Amino acid sequence: MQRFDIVPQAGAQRDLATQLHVLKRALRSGGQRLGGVIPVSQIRAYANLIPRFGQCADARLTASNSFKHSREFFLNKYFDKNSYFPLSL
Amino acid sequence: MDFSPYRLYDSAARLYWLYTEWMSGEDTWSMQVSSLCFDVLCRINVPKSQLPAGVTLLGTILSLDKMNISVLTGDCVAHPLLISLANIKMETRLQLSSHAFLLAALLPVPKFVHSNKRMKGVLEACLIHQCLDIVLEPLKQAAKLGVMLSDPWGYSRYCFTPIASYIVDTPEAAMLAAVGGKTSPITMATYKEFGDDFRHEPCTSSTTLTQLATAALNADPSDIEAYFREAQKFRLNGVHKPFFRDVPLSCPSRFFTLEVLHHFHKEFGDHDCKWCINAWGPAKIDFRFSVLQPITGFRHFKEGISSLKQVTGRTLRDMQRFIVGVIAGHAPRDVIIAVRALMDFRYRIQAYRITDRDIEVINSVLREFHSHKNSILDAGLRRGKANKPINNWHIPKLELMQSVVPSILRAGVPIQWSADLTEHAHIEQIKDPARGSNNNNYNPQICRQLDRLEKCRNFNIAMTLKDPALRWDIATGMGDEHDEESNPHVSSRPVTDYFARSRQLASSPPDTIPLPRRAFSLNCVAFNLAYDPSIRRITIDEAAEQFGLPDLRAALADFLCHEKVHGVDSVHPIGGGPRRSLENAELPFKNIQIWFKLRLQVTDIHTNTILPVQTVLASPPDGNWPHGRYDLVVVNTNNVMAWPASGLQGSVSSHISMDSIHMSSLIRTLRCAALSHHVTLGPTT
Repeated sequence: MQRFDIVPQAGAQRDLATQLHVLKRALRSGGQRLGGVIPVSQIRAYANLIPRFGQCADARLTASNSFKHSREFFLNKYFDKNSYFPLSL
Repeated sequence: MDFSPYRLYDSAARLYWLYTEWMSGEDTWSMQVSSLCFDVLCRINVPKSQLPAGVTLLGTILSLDKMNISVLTGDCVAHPLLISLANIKMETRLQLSSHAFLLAALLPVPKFVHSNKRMKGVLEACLIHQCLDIVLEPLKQAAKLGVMLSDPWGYSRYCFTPIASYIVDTPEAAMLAAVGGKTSPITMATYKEFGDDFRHEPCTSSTTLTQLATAALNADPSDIEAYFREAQKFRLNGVHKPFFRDVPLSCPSRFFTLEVLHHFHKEFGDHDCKWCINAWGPAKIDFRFSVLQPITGFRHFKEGISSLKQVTGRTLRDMQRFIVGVIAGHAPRDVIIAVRALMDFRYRIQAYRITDRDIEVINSVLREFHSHKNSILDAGLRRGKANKPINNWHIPKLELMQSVVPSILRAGVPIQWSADLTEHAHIEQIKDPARGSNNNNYNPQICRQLDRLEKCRNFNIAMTLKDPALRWDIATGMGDEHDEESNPHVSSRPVTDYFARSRQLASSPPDTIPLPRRAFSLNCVAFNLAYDPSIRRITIDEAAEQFGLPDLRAALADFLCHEKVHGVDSVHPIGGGPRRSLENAELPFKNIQIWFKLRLQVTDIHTNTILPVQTVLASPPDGNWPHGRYDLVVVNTNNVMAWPASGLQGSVSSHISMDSIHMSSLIRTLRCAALSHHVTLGPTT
């Protein structure tokens, strides 16, 4: 498992305009990605992330690399109606 | 079935009401509850019971929509009137296989020879109202005087049948409410007031009837043109005798329940989506949609969204999933807020259970939209033909949104009036029988076929009731399996229940099932893996190389170490502190098995029904996916917090408890090696 952490936005938990959480990869001080082994039973739900494109999306992005090359992501609560409610809490 | 009105509260303290079925709303309560009880529970101002004591309310649901019968050829149009019962619980009624909607009548669709196009519309409306009068006559009698009917247990009940809901699209709603074009069927608002941020006075049946009577004083109703001119002064459509005039307890401002497909999804497609495309330009928004990582089981918009033609409700729903995240960051902030507020509104009203607290939120997001909506006009994003900016809010569906909350309070959640059902019923009740006919004289052939099908179904049900060996059929809802199979394009695939499977595996003796167990479940989520792993046997170092995880060995060692110290049932953190183990740590096993796919199944947070399975991928780099393909999951890392009740709250700032988000990667697929805590570690040699 690789870990993603919530990035506080201007003191709030979510981005103010979209009301979505902003996430980024957790890194060690040396720059390696932070992760670990956990039991499957700790998984609770599927989550969907959308790369945070910002003002201008990089034209080199494709469906297969957009994930790897993006630094920040929106945790997309609108992905399904079931996780919408817990993620809006 | 519900036979009596009830009140639900979300806590024992009875602070908040909870709205679900039609019977949980205020309408049924006020129709039935006697004036005495109202002093105690008084919250709304309703005079007194309008019905005799001890009667049963049966809420009629009607639906009317024009549709094409024939496929591709000809323009044979049908105008079916469908009927259903609001007392049937939502869970059953919303199931397509339960045949909750029946065909009541096929209304005629004549061609009028009148030279004035406007008058043709008036004549058509008059005809439909007159037809409804004839068809609904027994219903009107039952609503006025009551009727004795037997319930499923065979007891006789004295029933009254008010109209609970009329599921129609906006133009038909206006026609049925006897109001003219560009006027709200539910409130007194005219098109200039559609963008107002408050709800106008409801347009009640008595108001309309008084206006019609006034018009009749000035013009003879049989002189259609003169009468229409008079009626137009009141913004009515010139129907002299609207069908609802003599149905007690039923009023257009109440029974036009807002409907999810037409009023909210189509509104998104016609307006919100256009604003976004205009704001960012089609190329940009298409590009952003196209680079989203595809998700198993969901549509990926490879070509973007701006060039889509013939957009269906399902496509609109798929677009709604992503649009807020996609548009963020580039446009005026207020536009994003307005679009997002409407999206919140749409998602919240689709819940199966809505409390008073939710209603506050729904009201506040709608206010938020109205306070930011002008940024859309300012930026010139609302455009009409030839891309000319439109500088007004004359959108009927915006006005209808104001009526959503009152409608929830009165008649329960909007999702139960979804037109998905009636649209499906059209296929089942009209199109399929018509296809079986010889394309002549559709109506009698359709009726005969429906009649026979229903008899067959009833026979099957009777047989299954009599024969205990067949009883499972009813329990699993597979009673008419044959029916569904004969129409493969109609049937939807049943959802596999992995919760049941994992319970079954958990109760089987260990030597009869493959170990470790391929399916297991917790309260809210069930897991399932394929019988065969994707990689049967691989050394840890090879796996580390294939997945690009140099510290795999150390991570596994840390996992084992944590388990040894804290016990096998402890909750594991993800990369909590520095790696304790070295990169060349010794492990009690050499090889591991790897699964690339994990199936997750969750239950609906409101109804606890089982939802379709979501496949989570974690596959290493290969030809199509040079960087691998990994999905994301929410992971619980604190056993005090419980998903979904606690959400993600307090996860980062407090450091105490977290349900945090992690990239699911290779390691969870190594379940065999270490993760299944009931099995011995170090499985493959």
